[in-house]
Amino acid sequence: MKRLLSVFLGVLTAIGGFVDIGDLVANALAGARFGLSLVWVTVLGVVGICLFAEMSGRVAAVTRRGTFDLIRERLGPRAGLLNLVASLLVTVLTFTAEIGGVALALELATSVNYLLFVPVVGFAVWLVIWRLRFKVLENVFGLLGLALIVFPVALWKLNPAWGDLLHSIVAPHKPASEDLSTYLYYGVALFGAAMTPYEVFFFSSGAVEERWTAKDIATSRVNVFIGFPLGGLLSVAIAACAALVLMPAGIEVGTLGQVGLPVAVAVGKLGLAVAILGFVAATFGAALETGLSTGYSIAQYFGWQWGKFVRPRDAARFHVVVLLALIAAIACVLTTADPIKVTEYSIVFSAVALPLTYFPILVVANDPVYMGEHVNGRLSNALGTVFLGIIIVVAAAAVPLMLLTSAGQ
Amino acid sequence: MTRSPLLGVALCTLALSGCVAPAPDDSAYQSKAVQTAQAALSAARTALLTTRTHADDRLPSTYLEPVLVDAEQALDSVRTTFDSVQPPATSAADELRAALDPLLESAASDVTELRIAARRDRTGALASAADDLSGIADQLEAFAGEHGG
Repeated sequence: MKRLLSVFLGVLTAIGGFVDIGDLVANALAGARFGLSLVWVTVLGVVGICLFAEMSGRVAAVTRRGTFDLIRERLGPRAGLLNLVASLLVTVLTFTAEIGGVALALELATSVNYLLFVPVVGFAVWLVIWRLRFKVLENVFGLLGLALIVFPVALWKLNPAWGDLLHSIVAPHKPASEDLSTYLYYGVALFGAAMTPYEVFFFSSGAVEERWTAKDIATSRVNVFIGFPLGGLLSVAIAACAALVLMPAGIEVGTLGQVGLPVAVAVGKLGLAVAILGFVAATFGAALETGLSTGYSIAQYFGWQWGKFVRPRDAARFHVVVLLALIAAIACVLTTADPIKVTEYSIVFSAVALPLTYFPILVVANDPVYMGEHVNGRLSNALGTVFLGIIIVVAAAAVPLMLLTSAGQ
Repeated sequence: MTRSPLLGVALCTLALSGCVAPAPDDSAYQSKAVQTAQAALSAARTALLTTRTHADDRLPSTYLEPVLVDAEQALDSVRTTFDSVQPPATSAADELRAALDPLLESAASDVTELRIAARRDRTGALASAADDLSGIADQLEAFAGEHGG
């Protein structure tokens, strides 16, 4: 019974922790501009993240080592360093966007300018990382993130023509007023948002933090294959709400306030309060994950002691890296750079960095020396290879599409 | 550094900073005008939808104010960007600018009125400014439609 509850909790936190500022912005943006014609990209991204998160969880459970530690050992220090630098840049950019996202959500709740919240949010992130146990922080913010279920509720309250909605998902058509290049650019952004690299680092490092063993592989699979797709449904609901309320009004999403507007229209004040709670939980939870991921990646690469499963004094360099990344992120938001724009760029650059993240995971998961009897099967390898091909195409197309469309304008 | 990486960096900087190049001909200028009208329409309709949802008691003042401030800033930015574009020396371009500029100015002014009324919690003034803005938003939509948006 206790194990069942633990699995159930894991699934709930996986759902609540799935959405971050990138998913909120990208899905609302795409929904308001392209209706549901890009939902297929979200579905593709969710399948991809499930596939590689399962692999990385399995690798962590079997080897009990962090991803970057294995990458450096398996692919050599040079390839590992390239991987580290690319992933770190994207993760710090995402960290910045998440901190800005928390501050923007608090602004919507209070009318106080978001910049005043930034130092407070930064301090709170540091305090939680420093003081709270890994399991507690993962569960609390994952569960609070479930508040975003208000988006499917809003969708239901909007009473759409469900048949038409479903048809626009399964038979997508690019709006006639949009260029193909812009359509593809937003597809890349949605794919990057769904497959953000830090999610895999955090998932696998979390497995080591929680001392998973090969016996926990089944639990990991349940979390991934049930939790992530249900989390993906939240993303689709956000896009659908934007498509129903914002698109007919000609509203293009450029602020977090616009993302929550359909909930206010459909559910009212209480629903909006729940949505804001969901925004804060999703972005704060993701700020913790990205912050920790910066420490995980550097410490694992250089072979330092890392993690929250040891006392901070025993992993001092790990905590210093997290603190420095936090200071950089806070400084970046305080320059008054628009956090939503930072989010848009972070998800596109995530797409660029995807092959560097997922190729090594595929290599290690396919290596019997590391994995023994838990090495990738034929299906995992076939799907992994297909997805790697897709990821490479997306990564190669991201920057040219950004230049061609002036970043989706 | 060779010439092509320099060009790449310049292009990246241009794209990332959202800079607007001069419009070389009527068609390019018209395209910028339509994009501007659509961006202004988006900000205006956001302000309208938020204000009306607030009037229906479905959205609190704390949410209304930052959304209106964002819309106001968006309109200011859209207008500044459009005005910074050097139009081609043709009467068609001058006519386009003469048609769009007043709409942008009115939309920005109406959203400012909304923001002031929201901060003073004046329901009547909110409704009045929303009515004015609604008309301007319709004209922006018509402008974008007429010119190929």
